Amino acid sequence: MRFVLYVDVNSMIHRLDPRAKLYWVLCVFIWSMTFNHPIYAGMVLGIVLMTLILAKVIKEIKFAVTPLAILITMCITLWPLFRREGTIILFGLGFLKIYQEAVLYAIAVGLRLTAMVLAGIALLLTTRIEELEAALVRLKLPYPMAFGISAVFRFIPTLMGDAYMVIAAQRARGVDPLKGSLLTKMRNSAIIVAPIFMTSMRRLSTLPLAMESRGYIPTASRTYFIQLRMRATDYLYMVITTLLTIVFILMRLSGIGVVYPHYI
Amino acid sequence: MKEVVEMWKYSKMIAGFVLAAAVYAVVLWVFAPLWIIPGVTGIRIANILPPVFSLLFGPAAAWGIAVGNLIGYDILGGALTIGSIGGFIGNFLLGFMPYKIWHRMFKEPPHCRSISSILKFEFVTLIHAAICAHVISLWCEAVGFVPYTPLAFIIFTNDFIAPAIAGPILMTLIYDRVRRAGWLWTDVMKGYEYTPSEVKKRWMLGTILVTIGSIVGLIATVGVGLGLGQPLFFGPGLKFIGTPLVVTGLVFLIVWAVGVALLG
Repeated sequence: MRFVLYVDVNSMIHRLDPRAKLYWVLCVFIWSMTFNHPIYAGMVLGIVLMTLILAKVIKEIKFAVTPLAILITMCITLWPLFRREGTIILFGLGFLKIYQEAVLYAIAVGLRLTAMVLAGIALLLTTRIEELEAALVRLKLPYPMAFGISAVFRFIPTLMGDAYMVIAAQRARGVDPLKGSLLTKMRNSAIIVAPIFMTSMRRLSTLPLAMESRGYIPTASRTYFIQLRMRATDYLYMVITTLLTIVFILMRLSGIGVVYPHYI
Repeated sequence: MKEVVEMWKYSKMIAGFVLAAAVYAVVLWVFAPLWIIPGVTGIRIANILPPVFSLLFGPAAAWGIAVGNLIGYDILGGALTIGSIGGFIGNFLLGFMPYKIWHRMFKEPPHCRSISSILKFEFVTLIHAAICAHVISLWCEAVGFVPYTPLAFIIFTNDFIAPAIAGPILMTLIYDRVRRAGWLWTDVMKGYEYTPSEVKKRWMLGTILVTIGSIVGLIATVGVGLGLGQPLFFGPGLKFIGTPLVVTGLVFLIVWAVGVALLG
């Protein structure tokens, strides 16, 4: 399990302005929600994977493969139970009927969610947290909020490490908090969460001191070490992304790439 | 409600926000959800945290829970969809409601060391689960993403059972430590009462309206859904009800908003 996502590689995607990358992630979400046919949802996933290859970070997504495989499997298993419309029945038992359209829709949802998760991960693999914070401020998010959000991203890897240490400590005592029935997990969760919380509180107790010792004034106007500047390649990247978004929306409006026209 | 904005002026409250968001995101990741509707909702053991964090960190927890859910569940967990907008607001309310009711209504601290304190904890947990389920499900129904009735049932059960069982245990373990460390939100934000010295009549009325708007609202809207043919769970055909259900839900949401305004 890796805890720091950013990978320092010299690639075209790394060099892009973080605002352009944020815009791309937003557009991937729109593209993913546009289609509910697996072939078209797969095409969106393909674009995301191509971007990861271009960014030279495709090998870094290994940690997400198992959770995503579980997600896709759960999608294919459960979504057909919620979408009970169609013309071709694949399986029927009493009132339970599984339609071909529902299975196609389920596969599409799995691929769509995978594309969205990987787009978010691609952003974090290719963008430093400091750049992300600067981008959020330039996008007019109030500075304390942008600082808070970037601090959350910064602390998650550390706290994740702490969490696995607590779990390992419990396992060494003969208790596996991640095993057992749901009720057992619920009951055990308090004994896991309490040490994680206390460790985190100790770690974060120095944060206000650090902020104040550096003269933190939330309302003051600030200068930044990282200077973001949009260049021609950033604009070109955004134009291509926008054009793709328009094309995909027009395709959807024309009925292309949909199994169920009345569902997202 | 001005404390929700004012909190960003305090460095320790920002640290509280980072703590709540990061720990919530990490616990969501460690206890990976058991998907019920993949990409939408699942059984989340991490839901024991919102009421506990809310009662300790106040408004910092409200923002922290919303951002922690966005990062740990939506972006990294594979649930970033159109429903995430409702999810952000719903999770914000998960962290907002418990402290808001407690600091206006109950003179006893939320230490969960007495039966009355535990009962009060369960009451605020019930309210927070109901309003979160109502808001997210209403949004998902309104945008045609997932029908209200099954989703409301799942989210409410999810947000209530885990914190009702393990929340008091966790609170007992950490309340005194947090208080001694001076991290309670009213220790940082001077001018606010952690528990009221006297309970004003408009706060009582506000709590009654919040209860009606959330719990009665949830039951009534589910009732409308069931009456118009939307099944509670796996029925012969899940469908969207649309306007009658959304209008019913909105009426109760207005009642809830008036209640919150009275709570101040």
